[in-house]
Amino acid sequence: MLVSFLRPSLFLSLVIVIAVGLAVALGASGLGARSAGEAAKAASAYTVRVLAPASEDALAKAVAALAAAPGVRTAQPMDAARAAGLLTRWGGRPIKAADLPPLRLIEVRLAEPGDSVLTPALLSERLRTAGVAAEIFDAGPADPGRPAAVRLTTIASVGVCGALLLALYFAAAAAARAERTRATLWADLGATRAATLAAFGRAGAEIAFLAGAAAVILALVAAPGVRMAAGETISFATMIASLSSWDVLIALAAPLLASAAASFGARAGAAFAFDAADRLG
Amino acid sequence: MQTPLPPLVDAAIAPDRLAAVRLEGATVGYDAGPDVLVGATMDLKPGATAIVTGASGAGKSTLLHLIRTALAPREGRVTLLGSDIARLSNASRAGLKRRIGYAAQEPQFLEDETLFDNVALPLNLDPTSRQTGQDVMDLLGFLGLTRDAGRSAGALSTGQRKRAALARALVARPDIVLADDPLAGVGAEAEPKVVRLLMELGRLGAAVIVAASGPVRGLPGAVWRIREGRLELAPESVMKPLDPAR
Repeated sequence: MLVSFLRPSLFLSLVIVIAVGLAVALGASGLGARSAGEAAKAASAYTVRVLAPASEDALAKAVAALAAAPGVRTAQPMDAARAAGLLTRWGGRPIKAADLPPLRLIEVRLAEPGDSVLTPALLSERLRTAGVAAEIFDAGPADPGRPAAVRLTTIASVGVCGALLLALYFAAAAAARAERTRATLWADLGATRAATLAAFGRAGAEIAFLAGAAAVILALVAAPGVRMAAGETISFATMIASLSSWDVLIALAAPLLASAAASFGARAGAAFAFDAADRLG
Repeated sequence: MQTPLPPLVDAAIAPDRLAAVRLEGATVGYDAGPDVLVGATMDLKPGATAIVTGASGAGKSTLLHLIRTALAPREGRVTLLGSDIARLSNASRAGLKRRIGYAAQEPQFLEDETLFDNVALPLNLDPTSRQTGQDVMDLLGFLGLTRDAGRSAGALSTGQRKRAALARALVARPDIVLADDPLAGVGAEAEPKVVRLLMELGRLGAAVIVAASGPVRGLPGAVWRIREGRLELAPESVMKPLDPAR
């Protein structure tokens, strides 16, 4: 039965709800992926430790040499308090700045992300030219807040999808309850409860599947709008190109998940109407 | 010339189709309200017709609701086709309902669907039904509704709705027929056809109960009255065997 008896009252509403929800989910997913990419790029910051000569003069020379290196945005000596904070974070136990010996550390931030092998090699060459022996460490993410942002967008995507499925469930249940006359007539004419619920469930599943399929197309068109609203410059083509395999999976699964949610909702609504009609007064 | 009856009704009734309604001291009412019928007793054999009369609000429709298993008796027992309705599972009750044809005083339809689909509904809900779309059309034709078969139910007049309700009640060849004021509003032309259909169903073995405000012209059967909640056989009523040649 491809023409669902729930369609007239529900189809357009479902298309709109699913499309909006999916567009937000895909948009958030894209923003999350972009944020994750930037977080990975942001690892291109380095910490340099001056080994020899062990003097403040060598530290100053190293800072000057690094600051003049191509691609370096800033090169600054790390004060004891910051060093103590980082050591505490890395070591897992508290370290006081006053307890630290002179570490002669320099924080280097690049203007643009650089190659993870070539950039340290370049910095080493500059230091050697300046007559300073030093070791270079990858400093890790420059912005520790970025992974949290990535998690947040993932949670938002999952939350939107969950809310969407709940909305579909309740919309289908309401539509089925609105078809109370049908459930009443069926009960009066001797349809069994199981057969009635199955028919309503099938009707809900069909309409939501078709609505979900239509909504996926709308969502793919609308998702760039969501990302643009978040301040990103993106076209439809780049949006499609930036879709991850998870995004594609979500888009493909959307009609099926919508179908399942609406089927359960329609069954629940029909059960309410059928039981009211079939009750022996 | 008399309109020929549709083959749906001319077909032979299978020997196992024993229709019977038995009420034994049945008291019934709605929710927490007062009793509408008290101690109703009735025994209707297969092929018998009962015409239940009474003033408006006397409880005629309530009696039909009781027999179509929409209401449970507060006291007493209701046995339909050999089954005590209070002891039936939901699935068995659904099966029993499929053997009862009920035409309501103000029938409900799926208003957006066609008259044909509405009348065929009992057949679509019963996977064991042997009736076909042609049977539906034959019945609609007999009741003068052929041209309206494709119209939505919501567009039908009151008289057409009454005839359509009767068609829906009869299309699956029920063993018990319940008709609530079936002649009201059907039109003078359709009245004798409705009576003839009910008579034929009785002749073919169905138990027929008609609720009406008074005797139904041309319809033989026992006349029952409801007065002050009591169901009683009218003194002048005499059960006459129907002429099998009719």
